[in-house]
Amino acid sequence: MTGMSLMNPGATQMKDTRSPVKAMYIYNFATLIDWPSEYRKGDFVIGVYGTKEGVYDNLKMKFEGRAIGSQEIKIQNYSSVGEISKAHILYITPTKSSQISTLDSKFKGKSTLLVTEKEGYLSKGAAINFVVKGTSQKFEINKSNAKKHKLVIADRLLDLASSVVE
Amino acid sequence: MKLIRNISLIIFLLGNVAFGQQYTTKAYGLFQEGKYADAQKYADSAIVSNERFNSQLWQLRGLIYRKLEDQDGNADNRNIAIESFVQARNLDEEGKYKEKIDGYLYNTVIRYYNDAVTQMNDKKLEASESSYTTYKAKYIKYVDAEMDFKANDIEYYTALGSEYLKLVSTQSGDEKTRNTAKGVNYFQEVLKIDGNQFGPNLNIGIMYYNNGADLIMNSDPLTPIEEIPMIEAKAQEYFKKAMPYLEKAHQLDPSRMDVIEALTGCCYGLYGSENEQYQKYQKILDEKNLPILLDKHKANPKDKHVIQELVRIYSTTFKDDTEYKKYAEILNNLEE
Repeated sequence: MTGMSLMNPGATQMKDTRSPVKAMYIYNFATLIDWPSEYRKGDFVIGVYGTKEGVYDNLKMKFEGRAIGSQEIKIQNYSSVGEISKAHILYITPTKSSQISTLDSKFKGKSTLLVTEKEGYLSKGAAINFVVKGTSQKFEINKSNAKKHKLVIADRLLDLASSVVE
Repeated sequence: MKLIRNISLIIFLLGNVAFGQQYTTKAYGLFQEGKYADAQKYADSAIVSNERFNSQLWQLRGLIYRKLEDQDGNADNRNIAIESFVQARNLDEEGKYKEKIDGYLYNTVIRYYNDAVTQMNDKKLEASESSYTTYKAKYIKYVDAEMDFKANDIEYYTALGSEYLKLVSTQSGDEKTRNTAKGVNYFQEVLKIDGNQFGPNLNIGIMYYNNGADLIMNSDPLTPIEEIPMIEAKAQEYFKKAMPYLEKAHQLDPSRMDVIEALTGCCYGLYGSENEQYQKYQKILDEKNLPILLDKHKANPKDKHVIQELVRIYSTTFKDDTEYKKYAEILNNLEE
């Protein structure tokens, strides 16, 4: 009888299945929010402050080079506040979220959409905060924080938010 | 002298004719010389002659057809061999050749099993399954009607399911879904026999987990925002299906880190990083990985991935502000 070798049970590797979803949402934020006219020239910069793994990698891989209107999307990664200059969207990773106040001050009067992922951060300056509701990846919106940065959020996006702070 | 020799030859031939075995004798001689095609002609002639009542003729015919199958790979020859051995057994009323004939039948029927293994190794998975089914049917019919195949089924279907698991890892879309279902089905065959089999539990869990994860990882980046929750929900259906199998595998072997890794992935995909169950499994992984990461960092202090993991562990699983700040600073310095 020919010997049959039993296969080792297939190995798996844990995949970060939340980051691609967040990256898709961030891209949609870019399409459903209006920036002031001075921000509609040049590249459309989406910055990630914090680790490159996860959301940054997904954005870079799937969205860099695509367009928002006539603007080409550029994905930037920052490891310190000092590095961050003009960005249309700034996603602050959870490990860097303690610096939200510094960033809020830094971008005062500028049209940068601050996106966080930490409970309660809408009250700390973020215009959009990622949350998990039940099993779903959701986001909540603070309209007045967006307004402070002269950003106009489309109703379509507001309708999909798990909660909206006026 | 020449005359005497001719007379002896005639007596020999007449003797054979008298015993009615001339085709069989000729076939046997040719078989021994390795001339199987010629031997086949004489054996086939013998079975339509008076020699057909001799069990040994049918045994010989079976052996000749088996050799022919070895030469040309024609499966019809194997069937004729089996039929011949069965006829040999029927004619062996006193059971004089029973052991021998049983051996011939076993060694011929087992060829279907060997086919199944070879086809599996050649990734002809459907053909392999078909050969294995034929093997079992023929074994019951010709070798042992009481044979219990449970142990064989466990071994075979676990191996076949594992091949499907390997196959789907290279596929996508409908093909992946279809073959995942097949693989799961084979593992479930095993679990029907013995629900405590570790491999099938783990592999079903992994197949479902990977299917769910791939739905998200390979989703169209330009998916309209309204459709994102649908993709997520579809993926989570797979994670939910995976959970009971992975939990069972974890119960059967709590030391297996690949099970814990898959459970961590499912819980993360279902509930996010703030979830207790996710944190429980992540803690087990981090406990095991922390000393390895620290050693790696010693060996290569510039490995960013290692430092990122240390930052994560000290800021989440094992909260330690001093260690967190230390590694966060190293990371910042490296990134600047």
